[in-house]
Amino acid sequence: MSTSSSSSKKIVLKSADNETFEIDEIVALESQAIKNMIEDECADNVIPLGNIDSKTLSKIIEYCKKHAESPKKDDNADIDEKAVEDLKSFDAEFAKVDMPLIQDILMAANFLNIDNLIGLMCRTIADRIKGKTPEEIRKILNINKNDLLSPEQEAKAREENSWAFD
Amino acid sequence: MERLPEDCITHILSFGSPRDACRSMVLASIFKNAAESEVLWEKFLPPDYEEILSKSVCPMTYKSKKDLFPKLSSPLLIDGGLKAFSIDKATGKKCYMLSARELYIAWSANPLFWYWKPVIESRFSECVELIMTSYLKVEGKISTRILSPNTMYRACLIVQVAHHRAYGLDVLPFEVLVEVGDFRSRGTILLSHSERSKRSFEHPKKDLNLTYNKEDVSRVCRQRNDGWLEIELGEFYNEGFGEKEVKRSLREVDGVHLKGGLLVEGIEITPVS
Repeated sequence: MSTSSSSSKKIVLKSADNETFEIDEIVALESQAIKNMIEDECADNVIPLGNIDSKTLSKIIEYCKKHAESPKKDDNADIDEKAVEDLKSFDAEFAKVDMPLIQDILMAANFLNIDNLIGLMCRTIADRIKGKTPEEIRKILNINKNDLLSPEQEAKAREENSWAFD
Repeated sequence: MERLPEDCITHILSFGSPRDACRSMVLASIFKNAAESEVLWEKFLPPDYEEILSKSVCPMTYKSKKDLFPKLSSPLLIDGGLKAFSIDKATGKKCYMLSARELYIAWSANPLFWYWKPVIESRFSECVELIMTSYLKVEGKISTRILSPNTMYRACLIVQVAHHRAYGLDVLPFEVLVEVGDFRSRGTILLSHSERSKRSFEHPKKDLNLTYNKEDVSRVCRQRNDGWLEIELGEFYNEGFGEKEVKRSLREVDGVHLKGGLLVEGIEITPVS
């Protein structure tokens, strides 16, 4: 069990809209990108995150806090079943947000390299588009019109992958 | 959405089915690129697909892993043509068929009792037809190691009932059995060759040794479009850790009467959807 005592080292993150968040280093280490910065001693007291807004960042910190406090799976010690269940239900609740925020969190998690969070967001998106028609999926994901295939490209994709469109 | 990097989209697609990943190609160009990713199709293919391809009788050529996936959904002869391998298109899970030559069939080496012959509707070079025996026993063994983990599988004996030569097959029910480690699933099935539409009667016996899968296992015969008849031997769950032997058998050894006219192609093992 990781502990976060008052004497532990603090890291300050600054969002794109200049809000600062002081967190325990152990929480920041959930991000592989921040971990690398700290290890390489590139991290000053304040880490600016110019592409992450405060709403997204506070969600990410909420996630990292919870996961930093939970026993790690790869500790290989006796994993408390209850803790695993607890984390699962936290994740399920955490993902109950609207699609734009999910995409923002995914982008940020990808930038910060937080593996578990990337997985959680990708799975959430996958669940939401499962069994939907292309039109519905485009709406759910707010896909830009400029990004659509031309009718020729679409016909070619269908033809080349006819096994999936039967 | 186009802001999301392509590898995130690939990651999203990996949570769905192979078919859905392919269908997503028409959503948008970024999906088209993501759905063509080799990483994605590597995940959908069985982890040991290269080893399986190396056992193929005819070398298989493919442009990409995405191209290989649908190709592998039609049976590929492996191990000198004695087995056929394929993947389930919906899930990418592994399917195997053992030809009659890979089975243990009592007395099948004796040409008075069993007759080996090529059959045009079979993918294998030989099938075996029962001429006569009172002791009918067909058994196949396969290791759980080569099957997909966390998967419910069904084993079926693939046969034809030779209409003019069949006799004695419908006197007593066949006993079918699937065993994996401590797990046993038993049932019986009655084959009919007196009428064109073969009907099956189900007599599941309650087996006290069942460790799980407590519901009554139904045993059915299904006439397939390709002319073969499937006799269900049973279902089992492959957890995927440790190696166990799966034994599947069909026998009718209680009767003293002779029987004949059963043409055996092999035993098929497919994931249950």
